[in-house]
Amino acid sequence: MQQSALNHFIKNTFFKYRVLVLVVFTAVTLGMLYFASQLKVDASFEKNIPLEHPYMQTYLKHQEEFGGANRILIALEDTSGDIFNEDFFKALNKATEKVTAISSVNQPQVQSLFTPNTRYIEVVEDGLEGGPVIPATFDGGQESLETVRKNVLKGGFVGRLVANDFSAAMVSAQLFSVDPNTKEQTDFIAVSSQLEQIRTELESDYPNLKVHIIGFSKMIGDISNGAQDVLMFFGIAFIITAILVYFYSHSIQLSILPLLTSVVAVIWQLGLLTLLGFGIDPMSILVPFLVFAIGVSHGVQMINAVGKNVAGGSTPLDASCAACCRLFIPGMVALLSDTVGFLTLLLIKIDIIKELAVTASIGVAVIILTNLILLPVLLSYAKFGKSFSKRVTKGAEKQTFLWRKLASFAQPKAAKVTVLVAAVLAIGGVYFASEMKIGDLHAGAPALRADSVYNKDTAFITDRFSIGTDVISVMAETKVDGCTDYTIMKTIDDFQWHLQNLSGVQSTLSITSISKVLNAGFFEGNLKWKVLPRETATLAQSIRYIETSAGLFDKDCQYMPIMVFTNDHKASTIEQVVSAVKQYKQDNPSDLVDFKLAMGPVGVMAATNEAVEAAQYPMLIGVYIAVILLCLISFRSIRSTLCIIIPLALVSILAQALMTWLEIGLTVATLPVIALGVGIGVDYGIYIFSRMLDFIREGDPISEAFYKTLNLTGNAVFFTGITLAIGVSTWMLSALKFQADMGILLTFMFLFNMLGAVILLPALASFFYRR
Amino acid sequence: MAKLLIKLSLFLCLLGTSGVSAEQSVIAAKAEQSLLIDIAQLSGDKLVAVGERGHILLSNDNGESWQQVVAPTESTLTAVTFIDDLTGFAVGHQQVILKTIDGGETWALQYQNKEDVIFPALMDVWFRDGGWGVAVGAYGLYLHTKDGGQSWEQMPLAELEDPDFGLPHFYSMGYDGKNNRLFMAGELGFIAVSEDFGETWSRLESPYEGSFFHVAVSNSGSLHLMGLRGHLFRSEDQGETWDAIKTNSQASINSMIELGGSQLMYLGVDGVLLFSNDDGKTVRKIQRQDRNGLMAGVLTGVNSLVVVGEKGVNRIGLDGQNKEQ
Repeated sequence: MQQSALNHFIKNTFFKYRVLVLVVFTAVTLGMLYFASQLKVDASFEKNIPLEHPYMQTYLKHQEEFGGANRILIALEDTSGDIFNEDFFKALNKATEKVTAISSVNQPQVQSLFTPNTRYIEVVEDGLEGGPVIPATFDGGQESLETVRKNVLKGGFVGRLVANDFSAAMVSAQLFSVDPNTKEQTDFIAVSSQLEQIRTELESDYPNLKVHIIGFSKMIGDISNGAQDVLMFFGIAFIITAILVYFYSHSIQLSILPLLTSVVAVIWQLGLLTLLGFGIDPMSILVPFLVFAIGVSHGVQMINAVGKNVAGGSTPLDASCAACCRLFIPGMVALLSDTVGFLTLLLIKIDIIKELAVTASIGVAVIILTNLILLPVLLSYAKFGKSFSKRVTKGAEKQTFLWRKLASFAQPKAAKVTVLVAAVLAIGGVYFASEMKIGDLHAGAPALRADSVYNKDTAFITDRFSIGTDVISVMAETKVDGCTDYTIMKTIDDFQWHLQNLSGVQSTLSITSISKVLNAGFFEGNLKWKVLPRETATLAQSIRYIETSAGLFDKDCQYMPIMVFTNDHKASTIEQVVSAVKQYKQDNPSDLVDFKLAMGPVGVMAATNEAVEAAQYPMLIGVYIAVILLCLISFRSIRSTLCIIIPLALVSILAQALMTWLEIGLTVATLPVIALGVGIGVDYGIYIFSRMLDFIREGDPISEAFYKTLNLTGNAVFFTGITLAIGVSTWMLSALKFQADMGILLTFMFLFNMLGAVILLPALASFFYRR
Repeated sequence: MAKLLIKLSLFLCLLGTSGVSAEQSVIAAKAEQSLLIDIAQLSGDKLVAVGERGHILLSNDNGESWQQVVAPTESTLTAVTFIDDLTGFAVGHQQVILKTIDGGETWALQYQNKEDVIFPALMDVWFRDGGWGVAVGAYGLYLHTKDGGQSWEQMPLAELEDPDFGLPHFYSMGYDGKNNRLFMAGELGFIAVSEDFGETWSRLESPYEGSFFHVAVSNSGSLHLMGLRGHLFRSEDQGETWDAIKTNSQASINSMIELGGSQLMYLGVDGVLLFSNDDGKTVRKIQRQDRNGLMAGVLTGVNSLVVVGEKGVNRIGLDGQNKEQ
């Protein structure tokens, strides 16, 4: 569409039927407000993992039988340092009952000293003898406590159900992903608050008791609690932005309108989520901020143009109409490039990122309507006092000095220096960016801060017990009754020992380790007999004594996981295990056993890391192709496109270098940041260059063209950068580490993309448009 | 041409032997922490430990540092003994018998019987001299050599058979050098003596119906018999009569170390040590924190022992506590 035709269209539709436009927007907004109020929190486990990854296929295949990664551990600590007292055992019994009563808990798999599956076996003169660790006659007295202590030792529960120093005891449970009672997806947040209730109750009933709870659902609960602070951050961002807009526009009316239209955009976005059947999760809860910030920053371009027109003597209606006509194309291009930038996130095969892509795209698409139609129409009703034009002119004079300074960057000499500095930064940036790590770099739940209750509980449990939460299971897939075949068992045992020898591995556990212990047990506990029995009958006999609920084999004895407890879940540790498994399979091919990666929390992380790593470059290439195409289409010039893209690329590289420097790993949370940053960051360049190109084509030298551009739009560009940065910088306060990381990186990208657009872009232009 | 043929056939032979991958132990970074079952002491601070997966570890500094050497087996080794600083034997599951003539650096497979499911394992080995030796094991397995292990002969030992149970597991041999008597202990209260270095045996009356895991003769000449559930017996008349020693422990006892004078240390499962300073007449129980089972040990200094067991090697003091690394 030609500009004149577009002008005609805009004038004869939106501005001719102004009232109708307002009525329609009001009606839709009210409707969306209703839907937005129905928005649900949705934090399913599957959403966070790359379901299409081969590791996750293994995970999904065996999840039902082996419980997957969804385990909760409740450690009861006696602050006196010794659990063997009547009160503690009462509390432990109560905790066991309460945990078992949670409806999505897999009841037969609950384990504590009080559950019937906690039995000991001991060697006596005429064979084996065993029984429940807590005998039926248990009365809490000294004598029965002493019996329990002995049974705990005999059963080998120290380190698993009882702390190594006897200061705490454990209740362990598996959660179903579908609640067997309600047949609905398990609500992890509800489970988490039930657990929190158990904690509060027990701690108030037993003053000597401290409860530590960890597990995926608890983590999700804590994350969603942390995410609730987001409302406060939104408030802070809103107030600061409002103040800035006022200083910028010198008019209360002009300040309120872009804020209002941006809030409308947020309401529509949230309403549309419900309509599309999406919920909100701790990651996508950040999208409304972005939508708001993008809305305001683009709105500012509009009020800037309208204000200048009014100051130039137009009526508000004419001024709004003219501004709308002029900004429609660049505004549309900028917003579309945001949307396309977000949509490249769909390349990543992790649902939570896909949803982020969709929700952010919806939000920005909505802004196209609210900012390019609703806002100018509203502005056309605005009343401007007489002093308004004066204030605008006066303000503009003050800034002239700054614009002159900036414009000097576009003079050939300064431009050379600028480009040289940029080149040095690029080289340094590439060096550091290449050091960027994949995955989570710190202990505990990476989504939460190191000093959060959850991470402190994790530290307590891993410190006092011998069970780590950092476990990756490799599934040995064999034939039916594979566990009674010596060759198969030996293959598994050799493989397990190979992994055990890795420096990042603390310990390993599989059916073969238990089978050896039991074999020694059959020979009166003599360690000379701690070997895998070679006879099928003997093997079968030893395995008969292992509880299926131990999760070491399935009912057909065909699938047997090898649990590998790692020192931590740093990407390098995970990588060591994963590549050792792959290498071992290559070096020792077996027809009988296939070792399949991976299950367990660290198995999920391994898959996520690989998915994130694999997605990194396609995503970057995607987002850059998208913005390059958009620039080419809108400017029809390779030179212009280069002027816009080069600063963006430099900032992307520097952002990665910053991640290395701040020890932020590339994760599900930080991966989308670059795409978001580039998609939104390109706006500055587009707004500046669309103006500048006009002046260049009129024959102005670059620095003059740039100076004129700054006079017209410089204010708005600076303002856009600062508004966007403020909108996301409040995330840095978040209790959730991944939100804080995203906040740091986005703030960096927004600010530096702006600086790139006002410093590097004109310098590049003076190179490319030399005459 | 003939020369070429010989060369060719030699080459093919070599190819043939390397094609058949002879079983051997895998050198592992954490072999020091694997299950180790027996340990032998040579002169010059040298120690040799053996255990699961054919692990053989050497130390030249009394256990401060260890190097694993390749063994021609992956079977679990249950006992090791040396005739002198160079020549030694190790035995284990699948009736494996290994011999070294260079102080444990390299080992040759002398004997094994993988197919024999009736007699799956050897449990102890004893050599009178470079030629004469006995290896004993599960279900009454009894192997005898008179030529330094070149050939082993399986002997049925019908005289020891119990009419109801048959032959028990033979777990341990202990030699009384003063009286030239060889003792053998094992399953279900089995204790026997041989006065002709193991050619013929006769049962002794047992003080206990449970299994014995170890029999040893101390410097003073007293006989020590130990095993299941903390049972420890002492005899001053070569097994005619026994004193039951009060151990206050239910942990099975696996071996005995001489500490000099009349001091002894017994090693057991569940991290239990029994210390005696009166040649085993009375013992004091020491509970180690890690509760890992201990199988064997040697005295390496005034107040230092090197013990092996469930979780590998440990250097400990007479108080039973770990020495600082």
